[in-house]
Amino acid sequence: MNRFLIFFAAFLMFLGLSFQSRVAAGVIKIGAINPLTGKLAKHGIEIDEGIQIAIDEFNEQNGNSGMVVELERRDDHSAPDVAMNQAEQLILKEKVVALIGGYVDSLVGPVSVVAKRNRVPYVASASLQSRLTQGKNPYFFRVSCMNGVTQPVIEFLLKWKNLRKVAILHASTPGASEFARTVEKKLRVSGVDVVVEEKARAGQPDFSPFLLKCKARGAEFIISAVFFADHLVLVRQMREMEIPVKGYIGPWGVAYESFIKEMKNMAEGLYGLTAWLPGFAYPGTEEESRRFVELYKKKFGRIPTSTSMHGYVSARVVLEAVRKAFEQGGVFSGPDLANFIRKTKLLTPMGSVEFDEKGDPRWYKQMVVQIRRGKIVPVHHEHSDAEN
Amino acid sequence: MEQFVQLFIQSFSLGSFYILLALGFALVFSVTHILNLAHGELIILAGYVAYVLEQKLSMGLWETLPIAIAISVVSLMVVVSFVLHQRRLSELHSLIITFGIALILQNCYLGAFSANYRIIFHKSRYFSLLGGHVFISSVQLYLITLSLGAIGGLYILFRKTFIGKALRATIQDRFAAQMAGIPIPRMQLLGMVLGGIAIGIAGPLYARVSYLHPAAGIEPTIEAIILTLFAGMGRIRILLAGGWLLGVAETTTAYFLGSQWREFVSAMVLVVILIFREARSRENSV
Amino acid sequence: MKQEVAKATLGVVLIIGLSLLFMWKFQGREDVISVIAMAFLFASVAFAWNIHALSGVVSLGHAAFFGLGAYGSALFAYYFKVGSWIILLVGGTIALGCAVVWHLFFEQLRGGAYTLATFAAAEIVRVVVDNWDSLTMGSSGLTNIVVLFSGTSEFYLVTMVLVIIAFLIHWAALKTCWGLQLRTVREDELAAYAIGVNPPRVRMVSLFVSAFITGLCGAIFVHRVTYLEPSMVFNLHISAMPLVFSFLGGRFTTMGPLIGAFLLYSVDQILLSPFLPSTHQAVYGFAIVITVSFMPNGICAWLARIPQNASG
Repeated sequence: MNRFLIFFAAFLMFLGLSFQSRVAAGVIKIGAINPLTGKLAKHGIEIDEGIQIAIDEFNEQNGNSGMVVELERRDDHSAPDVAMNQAEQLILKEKVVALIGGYVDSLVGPVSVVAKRNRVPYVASASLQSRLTQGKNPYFFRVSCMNGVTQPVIEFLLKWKNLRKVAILHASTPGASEFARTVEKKLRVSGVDVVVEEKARAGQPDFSPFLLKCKARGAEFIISAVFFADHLVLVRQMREMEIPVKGYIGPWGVAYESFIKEMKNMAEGLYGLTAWLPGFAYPGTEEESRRFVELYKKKFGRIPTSTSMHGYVSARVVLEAVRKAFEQGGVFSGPDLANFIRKTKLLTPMGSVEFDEKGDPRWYKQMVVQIRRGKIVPVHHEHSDAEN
Repeated sequence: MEQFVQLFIQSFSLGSFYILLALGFALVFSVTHILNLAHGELIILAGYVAYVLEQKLSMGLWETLPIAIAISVVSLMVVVSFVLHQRRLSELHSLIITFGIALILQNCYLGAFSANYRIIFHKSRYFSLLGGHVFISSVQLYLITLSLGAIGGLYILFRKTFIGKALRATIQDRFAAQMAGIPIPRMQLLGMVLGGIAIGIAGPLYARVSYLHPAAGIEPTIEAIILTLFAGMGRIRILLAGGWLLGVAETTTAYFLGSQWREFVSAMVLVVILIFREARSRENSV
Repeated sequence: MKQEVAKATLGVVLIIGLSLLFMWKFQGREDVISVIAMAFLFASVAFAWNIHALSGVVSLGHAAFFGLGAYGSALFAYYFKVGSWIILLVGGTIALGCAVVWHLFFEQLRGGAYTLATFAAAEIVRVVVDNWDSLTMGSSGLTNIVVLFSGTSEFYLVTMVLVIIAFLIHWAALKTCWGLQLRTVREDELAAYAIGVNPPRVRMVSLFVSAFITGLCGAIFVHRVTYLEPSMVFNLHISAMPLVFSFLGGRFTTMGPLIGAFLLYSVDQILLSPFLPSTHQAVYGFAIVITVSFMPNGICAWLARIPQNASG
């Protein structure tokens, strides 16, 4: 009998702890769901940290007006059901007025479903797959989109003199697959021959068969749509086997200080993509960019990355809308906030942020960068004249 | 032609890599019947130790190996002793407990080393063969020689020494061994030491071949489980064959069919061999 | 036997009663209801897995059934534009088809070989689904899948019914004549042959039932989440989860898998994650270690004080 009593007591405790938490007056809560543990933790944490800085900065600047924004952070375990559960909990228990975050499209999708069902706006920080904005969800927005990643790469490659043969490798995720498909099509149409096109599961210890094929078929350029960890292995093997390519571009995972730190001189000459770099902010936002870097370094002891900036910008979008709602009476209903977000016109270090009817960003475009002597340098940038 | 030789070298170094990853797991499983799901995490721990030593004290591979081995032996002993201490023990129990331990370790690594990916940058020397068209790097040579050496060492231990014989007896039939007077706890200790050595060798190499990350332990664990279940308990030489077979299957598939078919072919090969082996043993026993 | 039937009925009544109590108590807290509904779903998978495990083998490939159920249902709805619940059965049937293939090839295998073969089989299915772009959309996955359960309450009731069905079949696999057959096959195959039980047939039935239910769960899952890609359903986590839940709850108890799923899944979602966004993993692992150490036969067995040396 005692055992049942213990069990029952634990059960009651469980019930009790699931109760609603009190929301102090004047406090506005925002929820962030990111992969904080597991394989995607590196980037999930970066996004989470960028969001935190935005919230801290906002509270500092608006302390006098009586607006206090509180951030509720959650881990999505890289599982869609968990992401949905956490999203619902944030909305119904913590009463957040908006959701931010997300690194993987297969998790952003389910969260957007929850957002739509509960009529709470969701601004995704790092979503790319085109299909996510085709479901007519008036509560879904994102600060990144596929075009902003494929266009710069295609433009860069087509500007390359006499490029005839390329090889494409992509991870088996929806975003990477769409990227590879889009780039391949555009290249073929422009007369470039894609001699190797392969898909690889993330986490492989060996890419040598792919590299040997690149060598055998004379690929001049490798487009590698894989993630940070895979670049570490792939580039290392490429250097070891002395695969004769003129260039290597990794849209994700290359343009990071930590990548250069680990790869040392093997990273020399690699191309990557980034939406922002410390020191290379969108014209007119240098001050904000500098402040972001400073606050980030003070709080986390590291330099922020482009991924952190995505988190920061997505949070800024929501915070702007919250500020406007506060000024106009302090009613933070879902539909109203969503309308404010839709009318966003914000200048950020990552560029100008405006949304179209589907929730995609109008002006999102990453820039091609290259690692030169241990530093990340922009190569193909609309705003500067730093040409290759 | 050179491509084939290069592929051959890649296959064997990959296979050797898998063997080194699996060896510790197979040894522990054979001697103690424990399925150590925290195996990968222990390899990662050895890798992190080697990484820190390399960063802070600029120690090379051979200098870090003894320390990595020592730490792996100790950590493995802690884990295995804890599991052996349980009131009721079956293979599934050990599976679940070590699963829980693996989760704890993962979170600890996240706290201690952050979520950044780390590798040990190894200045490989390259040896060219066949007139400069085929390369083998020093890391690949280490993988092949260390795996051969480890298997060879175990073979000598098992076949030529008395203590190896006692160990073999423990693996084959624990109760009979006990009746023959073999001290089982001491044999288990020996198994842990050997397993720890294998893990300690695998860790620093893992950091050079792949990457270190708090959640990276699952991959080596899966490889270890695949090879160990394939080889069966205590059949170390089959482990060797299995590892090379997988290395060859995966590499040639990736080259001729594409990287996306890698796991398909290796899984098919495994299944086919498992079915054939079973069919053959049934024929023999009937 | 009558006592067992009474206990089973009590079990069903308890599940229904508590479920309705939760629904009433947590009105307006749909997040808790969602979590419990998902726990019911995974509990059903755990029940299904255990039905197969009761025949004496450990499968690490149930993700194949789950995923095929999800893909079967979602693709059927996509290609034939059907939006009714019949597609769930399609999912279950496709999973069943896979089980038929398993039975043909893996029937002779035992122990570690069987476990490895099931794991490999799940990988094979995953790669095929991942690469067959023209049929399954490959790595891109499916988006905006037909929503079958528009409201959380609807989803909750569906999973409640599902878990009750799974519970009853699981109960049968433990306490009825079929259960005795399974037990005989599990403990001593040769003796089973001797007393006239047909082990291959018994194993086959348990596999088929297990696969169908798991496929059904996969289908229900995907129509709730409405997004699908291969790595979401064909992963080791889905295969390992029913094992952990059944084990922790009690592999030879009627309620075990449900308790295991309910406690591990709900507690992590509702209690741990909100308060410990970065360290919940360690606490979860710790809870597993402690539970198995102190309750080696599972929570239900501990509660019911089933002696240490009983069954298995």
